[in-house]
Parts: sequence; C-alpha cells; structure tokens
Amino acid sequence: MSNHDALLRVESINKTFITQSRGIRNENHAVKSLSFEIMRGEVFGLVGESGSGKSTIANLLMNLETLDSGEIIFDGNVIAASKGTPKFPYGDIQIVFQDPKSSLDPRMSVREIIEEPLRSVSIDRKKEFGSSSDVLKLIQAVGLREEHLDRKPHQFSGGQRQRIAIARALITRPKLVVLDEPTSALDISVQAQVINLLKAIQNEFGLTYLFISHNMGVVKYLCDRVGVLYQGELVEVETNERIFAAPKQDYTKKLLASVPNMFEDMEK
Amino acid sequence: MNLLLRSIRSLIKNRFAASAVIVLAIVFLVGVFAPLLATYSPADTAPKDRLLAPGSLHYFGTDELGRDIFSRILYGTRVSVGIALVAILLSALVGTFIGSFSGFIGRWIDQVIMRITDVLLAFPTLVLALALSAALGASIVNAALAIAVVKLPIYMRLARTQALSISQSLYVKSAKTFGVSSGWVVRKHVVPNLLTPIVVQITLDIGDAILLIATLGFLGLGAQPPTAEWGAMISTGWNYLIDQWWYPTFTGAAIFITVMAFNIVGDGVRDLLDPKSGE
Repeated sequence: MSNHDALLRVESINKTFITQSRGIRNENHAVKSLSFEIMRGEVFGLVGESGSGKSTIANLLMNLETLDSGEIIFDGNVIAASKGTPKFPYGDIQIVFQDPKSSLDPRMSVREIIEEPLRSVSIDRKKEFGSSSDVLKLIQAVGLREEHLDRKPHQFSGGQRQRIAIARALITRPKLVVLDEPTSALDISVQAQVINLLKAIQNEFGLTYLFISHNMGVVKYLCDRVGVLYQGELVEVETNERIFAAPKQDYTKKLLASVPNMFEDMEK
Repeated sequence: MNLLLRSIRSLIKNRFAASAVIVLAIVFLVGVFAPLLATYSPADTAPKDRLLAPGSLHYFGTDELGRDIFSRILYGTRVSVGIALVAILLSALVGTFIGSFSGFIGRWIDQVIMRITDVLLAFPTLVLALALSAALGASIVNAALAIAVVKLPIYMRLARTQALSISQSLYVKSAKTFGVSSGWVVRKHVVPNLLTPIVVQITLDIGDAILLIATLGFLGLGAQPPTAEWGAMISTGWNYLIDQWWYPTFTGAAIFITVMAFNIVGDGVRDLLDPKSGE
C-alpha cells in the first residue's frame, strides 16, 4: 500500500461544530484527527452508528464544510485544508445522497437534472461526455429508458430516483464517487438492485467508491476495505475478510452483532 | 411552452375549470372594454327614469337616481377586479420578499418577522381590514392597502416555509457539490420552487379580495359615491330588494360569478403547478 496508489488521502482532519443555545457554548467534535487512504479502484467502506461523523466526512470531502485542521489530498493535489482556498476538482468527485426524494429538484426534468453537473466542468470534458447520445447511454447504463428523460422526478419510484441520482453523479466521469448511505431510504427489495447496479457500473466506469453506511450486510457484500467510525474517530481499518472474520475492537464486534445480514445469501 | 401545452391539455380534460377560465376571460374583457360595451354613462342620473324594471332600454333596470345598472356593473368590474388584483399582487410581492428573506437569513430577524405575522394573523381578516381602512380613511386606495396588509402574513409565512425547505434541501446541497454559481442555484432551484405555491395562493386569493372590496364598499369604507363599485351598489340596493328586486340581484350575481370563477381557476392552477399532480 504505497502512497502513489492512493486516489484520496485524508490526513489528520479535525472538525468541531460550535453551537450556542441560550448562551451556553456547545462543542461537538464531529471528526477527531482522522486519517485514511482510498486506493484507486477500491471500494472503501465507512461504517458507524448515526452521529459517528460519517456524513460530516462526506461533507468535508465534497467541500460543503471547511476543515479545522488537516488536509485532504485527491489525485496528488490538496483539495481541502484549514488554510488558504485550495482548488476543488468539481466533476472529479461526485456524491450520491441518501434520500433521492430530496436530492432531485422536483421542478426539473430528468435530463436537466442529469446534465446539471456539466455546468462547472471544462469545455473539453463537456464535449467528451455531455452530448445527448452520451446522456442516453448513461441512463441506459443505470437501467432507465430514453422516454424517462423528459419526465419529472415525482413520476419515478424511490429506486428509479436513486438511479437518476447515480446517473447525475456519473455524467462528469468522476474518479471518486462518495455514496452517502445510498440505499438506506429504499425498500429492501430495491436496495439489492441498486447495490448490484453500483457494483456493475464500478467495473464499467472504473470508479473508486467511498461507501458510507450503517448496514454491515451491504458493506460486507460491496467493500474491499472497511473503516469503523466511532464518535468521530476511526477505531479500526481492515480488509473486508479480516474485519468480518476477526474484528479487533469491541465496538466493531458490537456493530457486527447488531445488524441483521440480508446480503449474506447474495454472496453465494 | 411545456406549461402552456399542459394547461391546454388539462383544460380539455377539466370542463368545469375550462368554463371558469372562459368566464374570467369575459370578466377581464368587460373590464377593459367597459366604455365600449356600456349603453349609458355610469354616473349620468335621470330622475324621471328612476327604478325602472329591466327591459330593452335598460337591460338590468335602473337605480334610485335613474342610472343604468347594467352600465354601472360593467364599470364596477374595473374597480372591483382591478383593485383586487393590485392589492393581492402588492401583498404577494412584499410578503414573498420579506418572507423568503426571513427564511434564508433565519436567527433573530426571522423570529421578529414571524411574531409580527402572528399578531396580524390573530385578527380575523375582515375585522383587521375594516379597522385599517377606517383608520386610513374611507377611500378605494386605502381599501386596497388594507387588503394588501391583511393578506401579507399569508405570503410571508408561505415564502418563509418554502425558503426554509429549499435552503435545506438536498438538491441545493447537490448543486453546491457540482460547483455551480449561486446565481444558477437561485435561478434554477430557488425561484421556481419558491414561486409555485405563491402563484397558486395569488389565484386563490383574488376571489377573496374581490369579496373583501365589496364588503368594505358595502360598509361604506371602500369606494365612495358616485364611483360604480359592486359592494357600494348593493349597499344602497338592498333597501329596494322587495319591490325592485333587480337592483341588488344583478350586482350580487356579478360578484358571485366572478368570485366563483376565480376560485375554480385557482384550484385548477394549483392542480396544474403541483409537481405531484399526476398525469
């Protein structure tokens, strides 16, 4: 695991949220000196209970929050730091949010939604991937049809909407896709379809995933390496096989024991 | 373009709304072309022709001063519908602006603005409108102002709620991760989602505003004589209901039909613009 293989390097990042209610200062250390690497082409799982800082990490990676200290290095360039304003590689990192009901603008057509990320990428890249035949190929790749392009999000089921969100994330041909609990708002039966789609397009588009979840079953099925997050700290980072076979930390054991495993059968 | 097509399609499906749209179109045309359509001047009195029954000379009869009721109703359309439109548009404009500001900024500004709307909403609409127009002085302009103020909290609350839900929505958050400009976010995400319920509320409120104008006129607080205004006309006309039924009846019918048409069209607009109304 040498450093030049790493697509994303997160180096001792910190994030504290300060809230004030009725004059009382409240400090919440959402992320505590956290470091990890994601290799090219791998699926890195980030698991932990709610409130463990998973979504804060996603927000920090997507430049939606600023770091208190530390650095995030993507593809050899600093993209987030506590000082200065590093250039964020829009289009190279995309995110799929948990709730496709809210992540798609109800007043836009599917075509407008999918093409929106192209607005801030270079003209060359727009030419390369942004033609209508590319859009068509893309939505077919995520399992939708051409006539769906002119419809509005409310005309689709939850699973279909998440497919639209995935297509939108892929339009710029990103290197890294952050999947922030992409299936937890979906029906169980649809979850499996979306997970399989994610697996299929990872091979097709050569993607690297950061998969954030609290569902250990899905993580076991999809991820190459897993980091366990507890109260803003990474308590354990291991390969898939090892973390499920021999969890070292008590917290990891508890987490594994607490989740029913629906994806066990799918592996066979 | 798409919206126009969908409106036409939904009107073909919904005959009821379609006829209301036609009625409204007629009302607007009548208002605009009142001078051409009216058979008499709305203010000319003719003492010897007073309280004539409807006939070929005076379609809706004449009032106690011999004025042609048909012509006065036509001119009254301008006052009632025109003032209602102005009052509601003013209210919607100011209310949306303050409300969305309040929702986006939040903190203590939001608290102050929302407490003000609470105070305004604590009064029954009509009572507040009466008090305001009485305090400002009886005139049609003041009546319009009073209606605008009374309707203000509705638009402030609506715009605030929308602003809050839009600013916290994942689609705005997603747009930020794409690196699009804030101008684009406002144009493509905030404005369309903010304005839709406002437009629906406007169409639903116009009918209500016409009624309020007429009520204020009826109570002597709106249009002053000799302005032809529906509420003021009924105010004198109802004394004659038993013997000269035509005097208040045709005027009341004008109010009824117009308000009804606005309400039906308002419902239609709501169904049309709601993204969840299926096709």
